[in-house]
Amino acid sequence: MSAARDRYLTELGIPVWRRRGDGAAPAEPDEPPVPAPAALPPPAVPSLATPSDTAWAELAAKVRACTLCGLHRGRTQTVFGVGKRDAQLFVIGEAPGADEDRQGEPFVGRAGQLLNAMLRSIGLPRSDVYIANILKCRPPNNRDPDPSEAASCTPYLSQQIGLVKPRVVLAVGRIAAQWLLDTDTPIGKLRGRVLSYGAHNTPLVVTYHPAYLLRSPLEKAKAWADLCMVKELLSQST
Amino acid sequence: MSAAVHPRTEIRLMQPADLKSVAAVERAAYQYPWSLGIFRDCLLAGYYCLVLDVSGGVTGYGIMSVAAGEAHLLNLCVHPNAQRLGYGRRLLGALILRATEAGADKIFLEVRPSNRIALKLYASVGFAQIGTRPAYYQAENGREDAVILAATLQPSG
Repeated sequence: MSAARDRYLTELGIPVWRRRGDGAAPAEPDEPPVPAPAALPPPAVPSLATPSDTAWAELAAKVRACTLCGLHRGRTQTVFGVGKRDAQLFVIGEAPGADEDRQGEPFVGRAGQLLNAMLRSIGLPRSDVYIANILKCRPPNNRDPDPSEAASCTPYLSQQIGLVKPRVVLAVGRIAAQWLLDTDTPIGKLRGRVLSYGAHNTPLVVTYHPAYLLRSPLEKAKAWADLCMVKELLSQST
Repeated sequence: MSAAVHPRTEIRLMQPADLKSVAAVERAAYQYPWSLGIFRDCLLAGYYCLVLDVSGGVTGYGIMSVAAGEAHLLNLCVHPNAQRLGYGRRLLGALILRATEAGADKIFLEVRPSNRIALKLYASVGFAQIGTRPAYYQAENGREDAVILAATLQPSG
């Protein structure tokens, strides 16, 4: 990218994105530089299976065998969720796509790569968060989840959130956000603010789905602002 | 795990067990909140006390008294982190329905003129200003008037 173009973009207020590891100092827009990831308390080391391990195992088994909606017929496997079971951040997407259906893990395709980079940008390696979807099975042709499918599937997600007890929830994409909040409000009005989710009014931030950001890269600036908000919420005590 | 539909949003009667959550939402939403005791008194007095429960958490509530054909909306509140999502409108709709069922043909409320979002909501469902109560509310710099709004209710068919 030429220096002139960089300058034009800067003048226009459009953040210049660079690959990490290019050696160049990251060009970060208006926001102050993100501090190094806060030292997280060391996870407790369970000696044997804890009640929580049992709960996870039971839930995972239920999901693997689930036939509550018609999507189980078309799946290669269920996509339960992945990550740290005591994560401070719980990331919620929409539904598995082809790659996820094949590998059994959420966010593994190109969108997943971008999600990883987004999380890394606020100092969170993928392994430090918990990631799951509204739906555990792939809808045919990646269509939007049907409300009845989401209704039968989301109790699994609620239980996952209950077990992880995250300090912040990040909903990526319109479907996840509108479902969690039970609202028709467009995603453009849901993002950019702190919302609350569930029985404990856990802070919830909404941002664009990485698949959308791949198609509309100019919206990345807004996603970056949303992620900074997540970082800020995580750094607040309690 | 049951196969029951996951209740995302539920508007239900307030229970004594809700009082702590309700008071917490009240404190988050208002500069001069009602105490938990006031909400308990509203329950004891037999007012219509509804809570809006989203994904298992109390997100808002409404308190209304109905007597002699008139409903008085005493409190309508949504947690600040859940405002502008249409929840207030849903609660208001549920309260108006109950007022109608209870035989009210008019509904009244007071609101701060500085509460633009609330004024817009009330106007959109047919409330009109019928007066003011001077210096009704506590405010940062002294007192603030209350706008009195009223709407005529259609008898439920």
